[in-house]
Amino acid sequence: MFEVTKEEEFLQKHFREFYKKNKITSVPEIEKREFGYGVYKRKIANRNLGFKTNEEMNAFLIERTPLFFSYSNSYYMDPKATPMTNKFWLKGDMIYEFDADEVKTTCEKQAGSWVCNKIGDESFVEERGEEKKQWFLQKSLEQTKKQVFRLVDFLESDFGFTNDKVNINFSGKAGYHVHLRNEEIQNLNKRARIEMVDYLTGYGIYYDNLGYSFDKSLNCSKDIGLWSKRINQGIKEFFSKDPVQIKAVTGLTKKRCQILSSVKEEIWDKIDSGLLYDVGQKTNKAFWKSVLDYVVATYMIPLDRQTSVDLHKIIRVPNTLHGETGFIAKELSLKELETFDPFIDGVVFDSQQVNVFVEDAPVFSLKGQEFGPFKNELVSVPLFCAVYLIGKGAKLKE
Amino acid sequence: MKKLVFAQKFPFTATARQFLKEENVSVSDVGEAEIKRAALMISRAFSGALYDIDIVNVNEEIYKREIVAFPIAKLLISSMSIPNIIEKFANFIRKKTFEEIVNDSRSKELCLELADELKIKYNLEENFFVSLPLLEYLKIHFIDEETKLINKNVVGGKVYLNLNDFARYLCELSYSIVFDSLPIEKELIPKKFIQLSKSISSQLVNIQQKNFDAKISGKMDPTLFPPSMKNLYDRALAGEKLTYYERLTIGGFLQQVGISKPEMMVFFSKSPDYKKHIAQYHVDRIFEKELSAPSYKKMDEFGIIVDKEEKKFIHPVRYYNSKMIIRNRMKNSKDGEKDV
Repeated sequence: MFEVTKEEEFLQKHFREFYKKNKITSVPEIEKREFGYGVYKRKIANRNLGFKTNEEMNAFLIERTPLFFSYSNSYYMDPKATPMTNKFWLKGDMIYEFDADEVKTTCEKQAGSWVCNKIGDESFVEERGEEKKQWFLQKSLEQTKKQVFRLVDFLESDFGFTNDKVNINFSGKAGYHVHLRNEEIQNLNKRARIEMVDYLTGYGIYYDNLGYSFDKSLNCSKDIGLWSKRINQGIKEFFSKDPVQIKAVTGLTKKRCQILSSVKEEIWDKIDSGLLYDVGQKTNKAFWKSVLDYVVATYMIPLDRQTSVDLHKIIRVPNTLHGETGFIAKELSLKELETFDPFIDGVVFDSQQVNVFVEDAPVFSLKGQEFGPFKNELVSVPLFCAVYLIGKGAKLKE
Repeated sequence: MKKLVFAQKFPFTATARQFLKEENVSVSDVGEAEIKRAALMISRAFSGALYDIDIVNVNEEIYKREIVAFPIAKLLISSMSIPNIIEKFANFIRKKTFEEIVNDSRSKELCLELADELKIKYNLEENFFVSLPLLEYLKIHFIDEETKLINKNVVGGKVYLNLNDFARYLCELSYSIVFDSLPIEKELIPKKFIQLSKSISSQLVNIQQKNFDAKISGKMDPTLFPPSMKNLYDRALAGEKLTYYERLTIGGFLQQVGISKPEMMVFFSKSPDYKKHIAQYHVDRIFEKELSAPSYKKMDEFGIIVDKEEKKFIHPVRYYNSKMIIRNRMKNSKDGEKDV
């Protein structure tokens, strides 16, 4: 069994109070779902659980009070059975997961921890290294939110799924989950799910199939699907960029990039007439390939591929609490998502003062109040902030 | 006659099944000709070679023979233990379907007839050939990379396809139909087919091995491989899935004894979980780093030595070289005798 620390007991006590006051009813067909739970600093400590009713599940939440509570996107005949093949898969929701650490942002080191709050630098993943604590701030989550809206646009415009088939919830930490529960979608097999994810992430695109050619002739796609429309729009935007950025992508000299930038209207006109601009016989192929690759990478949806195609994954139960932040994994409509701020609307605990010892924490904001930076210090903070800090490793002081 | 031709072209359809029913075909009474054609289908499926009928002397009997051969082939395949044979057979039908459609002067009509037969919910389109609901399109296996959704015109939940795309889609559907219908339950297979399938299986594996051996002859001689390496080599060629360590071992060994990169790719392509890009990555690594097979000591730790005698040698390549030296000496002495 797991040793229970006073920090975990503290979190459990407050989580229990929350679950006593807030019944969780967010899991459709609960009797067919597999559940799992996590303990302090361990998101999944046990799985293969099942509940017949909401009451049974809520009783578990109050009695055992896990710090993380997850359920399967799949529906099974016997969700508790092991191994997986004995559960007998019936169908599965499609879940697209966005995490701030999948979306391109940069992290700065503040007070010994990585703070992720800048947009647009691709060095994020590498720089993050082995650092365990991540402090996602508003900006990085705003960027993640934008991706959800982009996904919804793809789902509607390309796949024809209407809004009413899309359920969204905040993950409780650094991202959003988009659930599709339409019956036809639930019955899709893994191959079909992979195809949809490949479509959304731009994986496996063949430019020639979409009508582009840049080897012998220079043609641009016209009216071959929405991806080609996006690419054409992306090409236009690309040549509106600073020549330095064009140089970084294409590898051409600065002078040639300046020339290209100066003839961008001509490039746009050509695209509208179904042609690509001639940058030189020897250069065309590599040049246009790099531009198109860049555009696709910009327009694709940065999904968590594993979650999206994994039929046996378990994921946060909407409206439960996240043990690393104390935030609620709140269910949201598209309208609500527009104004949702996890650092305000995700906070559920009140403001009684609690003493905690913090090794290091950058400046952060909760419920509109600013906290930190803290470095090896004992601080008195409101309960919602104490839960947040303890979830990230701070020690409780009586 | 039109129905008969259609059923022969697409033996997985309801029309073909209806024909068998009307003709009262019983699997226990099928003739040698049908069984031979069934065996040929399986052989072509296994090797990937082209399969066709005698179009010069084609007649009603030949069509009937082909229609009957298809379910016989399914029975035989269902009692075979060759890894991936079901996928290969389904792929064979996929390719055959494509050939039938593109080689027909009435491709458009044939596509629509097949689509109607398979109850596909398509709409005829002006600028394209047809459109399909997205979820209908997603039912296929996507074996052919040309069918990838991202490379299609997808708008508002519909996938717009030209004639070629639609033909490919139908071929993918034929793959799914055949794949999903196999294997047939053992209890339903007459005993004579079980016996026959065993014989066909062993012949196929032998042919495959001989073909591969012939390709690499002159560079190396698999008959002189150390037993452990021969074991891995034979198992891989028979389409058995090797463990990561076993693959690395045989890959390193083959690289050391002179196999080329393309040959190694062909060798690993027999694996049931073969993925070209992954295999290519590993083969590239083997050649770039000039990876060698592990020593017998290391192989012993992983339990892949099949003959204790091998352990007299430090390394499998030494074993192989020693056998080569003996073989060459004998060969030279025989050649010398001839000269005299």
